[in-house]
Amino acid sequence: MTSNTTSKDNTPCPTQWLTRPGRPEEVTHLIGLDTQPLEPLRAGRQLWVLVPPSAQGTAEPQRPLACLQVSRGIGMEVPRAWYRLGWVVHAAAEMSLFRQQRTLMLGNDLTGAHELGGWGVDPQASAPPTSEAWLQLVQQAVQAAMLEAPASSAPWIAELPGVRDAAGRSPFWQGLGRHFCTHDLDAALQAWGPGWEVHAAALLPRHLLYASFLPPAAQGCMGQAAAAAAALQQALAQAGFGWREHVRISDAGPVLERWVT
Amino acid sequence: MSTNALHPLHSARPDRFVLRAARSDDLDDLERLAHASAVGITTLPPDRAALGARLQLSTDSFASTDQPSGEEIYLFVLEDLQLERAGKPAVVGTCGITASAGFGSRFYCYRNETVVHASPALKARNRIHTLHLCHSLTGATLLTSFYIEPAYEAGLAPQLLSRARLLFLAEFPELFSDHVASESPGLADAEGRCPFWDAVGRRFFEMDYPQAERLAMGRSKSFIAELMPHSPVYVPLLPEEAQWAIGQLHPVAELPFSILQEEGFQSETYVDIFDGGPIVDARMSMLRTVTQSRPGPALWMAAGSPTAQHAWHLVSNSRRNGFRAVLARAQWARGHWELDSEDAQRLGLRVAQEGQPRLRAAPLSQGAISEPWERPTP
Repeated sequence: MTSNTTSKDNTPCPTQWLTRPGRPEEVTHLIGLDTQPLEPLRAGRQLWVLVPPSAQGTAEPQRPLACLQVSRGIGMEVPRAWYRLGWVVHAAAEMSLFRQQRTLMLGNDLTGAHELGGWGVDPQASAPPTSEAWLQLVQQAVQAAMLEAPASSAPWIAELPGVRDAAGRSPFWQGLGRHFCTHDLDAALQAWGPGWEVHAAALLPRHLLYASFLPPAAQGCMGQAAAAAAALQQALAQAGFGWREHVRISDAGPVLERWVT
Repeated sequence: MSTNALHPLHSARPDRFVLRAARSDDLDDLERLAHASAVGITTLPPDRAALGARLQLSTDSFASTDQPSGEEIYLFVLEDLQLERAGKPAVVGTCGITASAGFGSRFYCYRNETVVHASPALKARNRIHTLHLCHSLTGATLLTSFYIEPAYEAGLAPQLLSRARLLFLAEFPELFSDHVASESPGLADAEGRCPFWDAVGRRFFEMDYPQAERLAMGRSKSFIAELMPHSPVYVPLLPEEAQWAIGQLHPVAELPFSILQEEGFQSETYVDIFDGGPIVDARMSMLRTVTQSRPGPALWMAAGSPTAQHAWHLVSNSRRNGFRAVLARAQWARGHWELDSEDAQRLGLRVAQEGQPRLRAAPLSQGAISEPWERPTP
């Protein structure tokens, strides 16, 4: 996949990117895929950065183009929550009724998983990272973590930001979360910083929800990633991450999972 | 209200009405009332065959001397004796009792609940209104099928029609549950469009409320209910119009609903799963007409005696088969109910009858009873 050729427009081939552990001060110019500030690096997490190759003939170090954070054994101290999408079927042959419906169940299913997150990109970059670049970063980070703890059979997960409407609002949050947690998503982020959803989960419905009670726009974006995350989503798919119908509680962005076989 | 006060029937003599157990020859009248009802009395379908079957079950229930099975229903009709004397159809209203809600199956309704969601970190504490599908009223006794011709809504006839059922409950408590409930129609427009149904039921049935209700009559109502979501409905997720409709009464039901409220029925707990209409409930022993009613032997007073000064009462005979109730001036005196001898005939009794027939009476106005309650020694 990563051959030593140059692509047709003579940009450097993927193997020339450098992926390495990063330092927090190196990524201050990066922002989240959802254009919000990055979550600060917490203790116990590893930061990985993707650095473009040095310009020809110079040794000047380049600023990172993208970053991610690795968290191991998530949700063990502060619970993490996701919605699990499911199906219920209401059927009555006598009434020729057969209705299959989407459901959402709040839960902590992925507690203990290892997580790739804290996706950062350089808003000043001439082009966002390609899926090849993301793939290199993802694989490097996962391999390093697996060398550190080869016996771990916990799954890996990666959350992607969900869809926003033209006004920058999440139709899913507007249709569901906002009724229980009166904050606007971005205002909440401003007030409590990234990771505030951990606390929002305590305000959300604990019982099974029928998606048909949500506005069509909210139903339509369940499991859909923001366009800005398309290249990353492709990279994660190539790295063996699949969607098992978990979504983020804030904007219903997909939670991709990679299970050790 | 002032126009009601001027209605000719408002001042109609209370003693021109008789409530009695429905008979099989009332089928034509019941069919007429079922068709006249604006929103439809769900327990009184405008379908002659179904109506005939219910009437048969009712007459069997009144006539039975067996132990109650819970399947019993009791239908009553209200007659205007003045119409009868004029040779016109005398039945102007109907009502019923279902001995055991959800007999042989389950009775579904939504229970209003509040859950509190709190997040100390976000300094938030929210009260969330939820509706929980429940079976709590299964086995409760239901007051049903209330309908009175609009001309008779003013005046005292509705009091007799609705509350005579409570005398029947008080007289035959062994046939009924101590938990009594009554469903009232919820908000719907003239086309049957119902905001609560559109927000909840329609998502599961893909059909109109009237259509689902027709199916519900054809089959058991619980059959339909089993297709509804069994997890709670989070009210904040419903459209505003539907939220507002929860526990809201259809305007046509205001009169019977207010009579039940004055009796002490509570409307806070349950709503109908289809139209969100209120379901009132109470312990039978807490209902005013029940607690204020008193059984006792009749003492017939000669016409022109002081009974003309007595307060108006709801008075019933004590027959299960042949039950009748009227509004009459009565007084509890010396261990007897003093009544004008002319009231005997309306109650289906004869003055000359041997022994003094047992009556049950409760004051029409629900103030304090004139004498403390004393249980007659058997």
